[in-house]
Amino acid sequence: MIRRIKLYSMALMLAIGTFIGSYAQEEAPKKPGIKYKGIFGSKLSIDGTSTVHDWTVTTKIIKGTIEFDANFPLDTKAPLPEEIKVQPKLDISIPVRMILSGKKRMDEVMHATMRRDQHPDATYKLLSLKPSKKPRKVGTPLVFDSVGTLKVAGVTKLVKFPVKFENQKGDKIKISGETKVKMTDFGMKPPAPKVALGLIKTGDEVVVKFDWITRKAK
Amino acid sequence: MKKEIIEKLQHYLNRREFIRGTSMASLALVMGSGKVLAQEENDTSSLDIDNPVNVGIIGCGVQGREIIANLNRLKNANITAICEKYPAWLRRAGRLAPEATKYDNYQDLLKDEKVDAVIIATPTHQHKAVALAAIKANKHIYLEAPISNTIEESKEICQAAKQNSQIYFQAGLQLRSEPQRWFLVDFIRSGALGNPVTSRSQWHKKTSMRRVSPNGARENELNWPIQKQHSAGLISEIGIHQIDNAFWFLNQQPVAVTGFGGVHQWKDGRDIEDTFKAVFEFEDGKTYDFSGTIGNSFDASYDMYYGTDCAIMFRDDKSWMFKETDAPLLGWEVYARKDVFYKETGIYLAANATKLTTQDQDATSSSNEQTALYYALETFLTNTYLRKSAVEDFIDAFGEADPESLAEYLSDIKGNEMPAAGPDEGHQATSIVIQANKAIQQKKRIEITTESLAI
Repeated sequence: MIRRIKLYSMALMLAIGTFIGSYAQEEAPKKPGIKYKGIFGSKLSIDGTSTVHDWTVTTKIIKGTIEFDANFPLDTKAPLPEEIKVQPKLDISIPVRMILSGKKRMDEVMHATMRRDQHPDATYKLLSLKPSKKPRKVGTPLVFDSVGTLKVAGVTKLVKFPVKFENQKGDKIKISGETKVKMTDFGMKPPAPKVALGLIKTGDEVVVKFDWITRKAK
Repeated sequence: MKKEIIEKLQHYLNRREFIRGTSMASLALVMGSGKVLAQEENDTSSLDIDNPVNVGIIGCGVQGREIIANLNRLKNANITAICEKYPAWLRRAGRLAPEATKYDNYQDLLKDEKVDAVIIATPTHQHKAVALAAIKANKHIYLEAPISNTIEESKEICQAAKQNSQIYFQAGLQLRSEPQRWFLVDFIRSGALGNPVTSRSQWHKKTSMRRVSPNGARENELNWPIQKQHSAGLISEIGIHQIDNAFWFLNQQPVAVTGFGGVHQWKDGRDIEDTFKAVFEFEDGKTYDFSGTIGNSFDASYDMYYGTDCAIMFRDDKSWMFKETDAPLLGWEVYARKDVFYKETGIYLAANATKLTTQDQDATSSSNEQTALYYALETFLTNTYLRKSAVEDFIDAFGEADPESLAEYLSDIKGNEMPAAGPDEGHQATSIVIQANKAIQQKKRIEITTESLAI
């Protein structure tokens, strides 16, 4: 008798387990996401000004991935929908130490301003993409208005700027953009290094431009 | 050409600079080449940033200990390990670097994963084994010059270093990293001399170079620089720095060398010339000659570059221009400091030549704050950190599956490195002095082929 009860209870547990399992399976996305990973060939530059001359620093190390829902509109030949139902997941990080100017002392000043010791990476996380309302010719890159968070020097700020998606040969997508940011928004004091002729004051506003090349992950 | 030079110099050093006071940094500023932020003076220590490199020193003789002493003054140097097979030297080096792990053989040091970079300061004839093992162990390398005492070994080392793009390799031609020389290389190359007619260097110092030890075998080991078996002569061990500097400044390599020399003072059985001359010829027939002796100290060491507009003299880390009477007026030299050398007046030639503070200095005061070795080691640490970071961050971002892209990236970032002698320059200089030594020993003219200089 006891053995029979044990068998019943085991069968019941198995049935419940199967039910939970099938329910969980139904909750998972129907189609897996499509993941693209940043590859070498990408470039990010920061253009700034100063009381003496304009300056540029660059990096080619952009680490990150973007994961699209299977229905994400990546076809440049088709018109963009009104809205993106399932937002892609995009995370990027850039090692500050590899943002370089070609000038040692300038790099030291820049890295110190970006508090590299405490915050070795600058990061960006996408929150949403919205198809741009601006008219677009078929076949030209897809344009979205992006909203995301940018973390530099340990300070996170919301940033909004248009981004272009362009399909490239070899399962690649080039994602490009440009935005203006202020150093003071991120708690960074624009460097004002002393030189023999006085102070050089750096402009607060800088322009960040990027071409991020991603390839479909295998 | 002359007009261009005058304009350039006036641009470099004008009256405004004189009034306000100038420096290397402000000079870079008026050069208007977008280098200002890079070369400004330290504004505040809070803006300094650490780029630490864990260094191992292999060979703790006089030079090795001098290197340790310099590293102790460099904030980015972590002396992690030291290696020396002679116990007394290892102990002495250990007192300078108490935190370092001590090794009595280089193979064990190279296995130490904490060590990022090695500085090789062993006798020249031991360079090959150590350097090749260090390249294989993926350690960044500073290798004292000359690279080797044979052309074949030098080529082998430099080739291997060049092929491993993940490591930073610097030849110990320390003058290549000295700020004052970098200021003047452009000055000379821009045609400041007028038509450069000839040039020469000398290294004169009365010293036997013989070292003594109560232990005969040890004494023999110590005296490798004066043994033909282990050394490519004093022109190689001593002359390489000035000779390399001359060809770098003149921006050309010699096509032949004729040598003279002998043992004229230290007749103690040595088989290395204690006094020698080498005359190097360039393709256009002009010459550069080097005179070396350890039999007399007069006038020590200096370099002279003679042109139709002026002569330029380098002495230690300073230089002067001696103008011809028919040379064009540059303008800035009116305000520059002047030093008298017997019947000649030398215009002090430096980035801060017109600075008020330099007016009170005499000819023997230093232009640089540090020694050439200090600057060379600082460069080594900076460039090593850059290369090391680039490899780490590239692999972190993109993985290890694409070595070609990594090599391309590492080639890209070379533009961010501080100036120094790499494998090409190291081999060229080494090959030239080895051939000069051969010419001295054989008292004949030797043609220097481009193949012998290439790696």
